[in-house]
Amino acid sequence: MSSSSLHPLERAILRPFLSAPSRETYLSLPEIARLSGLEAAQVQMGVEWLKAKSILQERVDRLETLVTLTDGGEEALSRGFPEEIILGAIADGPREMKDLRELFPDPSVASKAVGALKESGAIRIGEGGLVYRSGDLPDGIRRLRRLLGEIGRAEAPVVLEELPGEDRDLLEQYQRRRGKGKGLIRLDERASKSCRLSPDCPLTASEIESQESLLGAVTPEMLMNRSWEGKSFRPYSLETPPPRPATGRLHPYREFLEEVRTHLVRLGFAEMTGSLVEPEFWNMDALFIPQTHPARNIHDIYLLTEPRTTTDIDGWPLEAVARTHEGRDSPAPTRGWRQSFDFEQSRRLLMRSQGTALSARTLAGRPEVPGKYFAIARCFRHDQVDATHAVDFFQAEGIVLEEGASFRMLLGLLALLAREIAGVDSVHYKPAYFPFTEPSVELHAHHPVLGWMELGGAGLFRPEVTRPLGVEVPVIAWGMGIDRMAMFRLGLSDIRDLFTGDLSTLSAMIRSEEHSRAWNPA
Amino acid sequence: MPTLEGHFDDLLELLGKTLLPEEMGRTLDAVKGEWKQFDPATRRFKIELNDTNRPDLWSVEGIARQLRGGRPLPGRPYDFLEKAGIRREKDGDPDIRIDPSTASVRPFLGGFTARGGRLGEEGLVQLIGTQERLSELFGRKRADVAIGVYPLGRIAFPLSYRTADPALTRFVPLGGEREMTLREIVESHPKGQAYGSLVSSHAAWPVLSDSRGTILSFPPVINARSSGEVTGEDDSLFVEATGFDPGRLLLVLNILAANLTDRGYVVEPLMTGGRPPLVAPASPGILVHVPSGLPARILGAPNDPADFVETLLEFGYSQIAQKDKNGEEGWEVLSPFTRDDLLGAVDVVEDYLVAKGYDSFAPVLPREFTRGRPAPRQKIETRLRQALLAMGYQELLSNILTGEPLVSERLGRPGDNLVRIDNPASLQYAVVRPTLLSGLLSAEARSSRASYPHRLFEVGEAMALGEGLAPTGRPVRDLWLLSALLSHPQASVSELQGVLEMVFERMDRTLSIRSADRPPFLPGRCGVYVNAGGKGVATVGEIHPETLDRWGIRMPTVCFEVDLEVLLAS
Repeated sequence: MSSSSLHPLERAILRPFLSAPSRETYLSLPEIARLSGLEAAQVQMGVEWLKAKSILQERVDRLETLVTLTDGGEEALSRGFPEEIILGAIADGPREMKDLRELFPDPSVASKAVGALKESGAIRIGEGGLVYRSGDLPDGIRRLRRLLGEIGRAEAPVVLEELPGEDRDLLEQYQRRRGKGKGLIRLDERASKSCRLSPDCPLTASEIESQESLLGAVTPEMLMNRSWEGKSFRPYSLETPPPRPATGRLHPYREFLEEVRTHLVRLGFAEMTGSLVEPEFWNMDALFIPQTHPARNIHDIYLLTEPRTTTDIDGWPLEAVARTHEGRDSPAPTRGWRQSFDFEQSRRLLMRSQGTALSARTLAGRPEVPGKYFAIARCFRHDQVDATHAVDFFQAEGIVLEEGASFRMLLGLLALLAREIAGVDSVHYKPAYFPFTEPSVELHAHHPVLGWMELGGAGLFRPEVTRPLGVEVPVIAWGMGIDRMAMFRLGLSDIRDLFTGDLSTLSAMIRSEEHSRAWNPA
Repeated sequence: MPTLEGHFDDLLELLGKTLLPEEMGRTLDAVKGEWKQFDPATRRFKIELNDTNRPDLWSVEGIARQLRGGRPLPGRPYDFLEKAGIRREKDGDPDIRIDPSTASVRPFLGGFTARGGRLGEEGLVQLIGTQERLSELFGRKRADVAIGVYPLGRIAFPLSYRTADPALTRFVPLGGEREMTLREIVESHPKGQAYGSLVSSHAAWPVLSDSRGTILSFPPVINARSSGEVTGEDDSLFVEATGFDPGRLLLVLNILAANLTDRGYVVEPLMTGGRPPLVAPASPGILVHVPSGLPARILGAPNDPADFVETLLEFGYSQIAQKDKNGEEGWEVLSPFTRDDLLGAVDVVEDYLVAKGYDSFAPVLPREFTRGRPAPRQKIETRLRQALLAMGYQELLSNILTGEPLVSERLGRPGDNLVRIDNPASLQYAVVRPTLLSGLLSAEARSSRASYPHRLFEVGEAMALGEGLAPTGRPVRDLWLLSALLSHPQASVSELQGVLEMVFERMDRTLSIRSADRPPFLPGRCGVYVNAGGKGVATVGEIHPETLDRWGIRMPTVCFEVDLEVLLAS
């Protein structure tokens, strides 16, 4: 062990030990503080360092009880004890119990104090429940008050065991009577410790003093007057764990969404946004979902209490959509659903259940051709919330309008998205059914860990969707459930954790994200 | 989505060939089905069917038939369609008389007999399951279509379908011990309670009885016990369906007739009276015109017309003829008799692609260049998030639906502008959040063990009701908010105000502050930043200890919330 690695604090602490009559002398922490001239906190810190270096040994001398005032105690000192307040209130004449209770936020305080005063004879209760003063503040309370004052003013914590016997009895008695929670004082046990030099510590007083000349921190003054020249710097112990700064963090799930957004923008998609609330017209009708479809019943969607419907139907191609549903004079060649179209239902408002609503609005709003659009939209489904169902979740959706858009192009686009967004190369295209696309396909991807999983659904919009909205070119539509991809990336098995407010879960997510990134730099 | 359970050997027998369970996943692509479960010990499986428009696939028989390319099993021809034609020609007395009084209650009934087969245990399970799926899902809980199946033995033809007085008409229902009136059945029998409402608003209710006057059933509610319950040993059956749309009835009866034929029964169509009379099963399928260029256009590659025709015929289509329509060259395609899902030519082309196998096509990339761009709002959010990140803030992301108390009482705010869900699944998620403060306070309340200081923020969507008058009511208003929370032993308004002003600076906005009194903030320690027009942009303040207490937070806490829409307009 080299003495040169000692911190000035450590040297200051060691000095009294080395100048003591015997190397076996024990010194208590307050004694060290007194002899070294250091603050208690400095002593504590330095002793810990020296213990860690096996220079000092520590023993527990005895357990002591520290007495401090609680907030209630501080308040009692400044406002007066309940007993004092009550005696003060009836100094000029008797009062009703009810009035006395109102003097305190907690009426039971009044009851207890009245009980104690009655017992000591300081008050009596007369006719009609009036409380009369019949004596002075009980001696016990007077003494307690003085004692608490002393405790409150003391600079160091007061040790219960060091108080005179009668004061100690008074406090213990009081503590028993008041119970724990609401007391005026708090008693904390603390071990009283002392230290000595380790028997195998080779340090001597002269060694300690010889390092006095080593320089500590580099200071601006030192640099200015070059006082460091020709001297040595005390080496620092860099093994000591440093304090870490508190940092800000972006939410890992939002960061994942940003990444998806960046990919899509890079692939030529322009972002669509819209309201969380949609009328069924855009969420369902325009997408050729039959009005009797199970996805439209109240067990599948969230309806609003107020307003229930929208009156703002400007620019809606209502007629063309209605005719297409009914299968008469439709702009698209179709048999339709052959059921009469309910215009009222069209105006019913719901929490957007699929991002495709935004695609429908875009198609109806003179989109660019060729054009690619996407949305990362918060959607809502009527599900019991559990590990796999969140009350609201994100869906990535997109459309491609292009003169030659085709099924093969759809497959190519899906493979591209799987590679760019999910990072998988092996895909399978499974025939699927969606009311608004034909042909329809589900994209299944092979994940190295999870095996085959469904990444999303896609298809060519039916002419029943595009024609009534005024679009003549074929339109590719695709959607991806990105929550599952995100859960894997963030090491989550419960979808609810994506939206957690628990900072420790959030930290775990961030660590998992960093871990996965460290191993997959792409 | 319908889920189907069955026995693998039963499926293989109906398929007429052997497959391994491992091959089923891909095999089911042709029926848009997913192989969900297989137990090697019992050899039972579960299949999830994704096509809600093809009830013909909602049975083991139907899946096997599609995988056989629509062809009947050897020696079990689908000859009932021809028989139906003959029955129609023959005319004469109907097998089932129909009383005009049923017209307003449940106007159509069709049925057929099936003889000489054997269901066996598994066949019975499948028949019951199919009946259930067809009437619950396709028939919309029996409202549109309800199905009855009876042992044929005790039934004397002709039958009669009429309405009867619910208080006077009585029989012993299946699952019952004693005679009950129709009304008693609706009131106290489980099936009556489930389906009685489909007829109970009418004065007279439908019954089906045979030539001896024995009541066979009370459609669409329940069969009579006397006609007996079908067992696996019944070699002859009577099947009927009731409803409002003869097209839908025929589809269901065609599917059931095909299924029973596959199990060895010989189906004999029956004629129901009425104008015109209804013979079932009988539906030739739907004719669809497919322009000849369409398959290649949809696929995005030239294709061989002969291959198109051949592939569809192998997929179960019975008839494809070259035919022009409105001067456009093309094919006239007749759909299989068990299908009613073809709405137009694209559906036929999809069948062609499915039959070829999606994986058999070479994918190509979009050809046209388009300009990608994030929404303007996203760019702003990115700037704000970066600014708060740099100031040491941790981002949160919360659900948009929340519990009403969290955004009203707990904040000391009235709930009168809340957008409420009319049919919440849980009261925890019954309103749309009008503020992000509750999410931040919830997080703080849950995180007292995480080391302080806590600096949190969220940016995102919210909603409130705007101003409006009856009768249209108040409109919904989308909000776009940024909120932050700061919590530590010395947390002060000024510390957070500094952060907020840095945000304004980042957005190049200068605003002035006025003191305000707004829950959940402490009066005298709350301010509103206003723009030049005097409009409130942001609120900042110290959270009232009373509020902190309600949330169970034991640490001084300050918050701000910015209305980004107003900020940007400022």
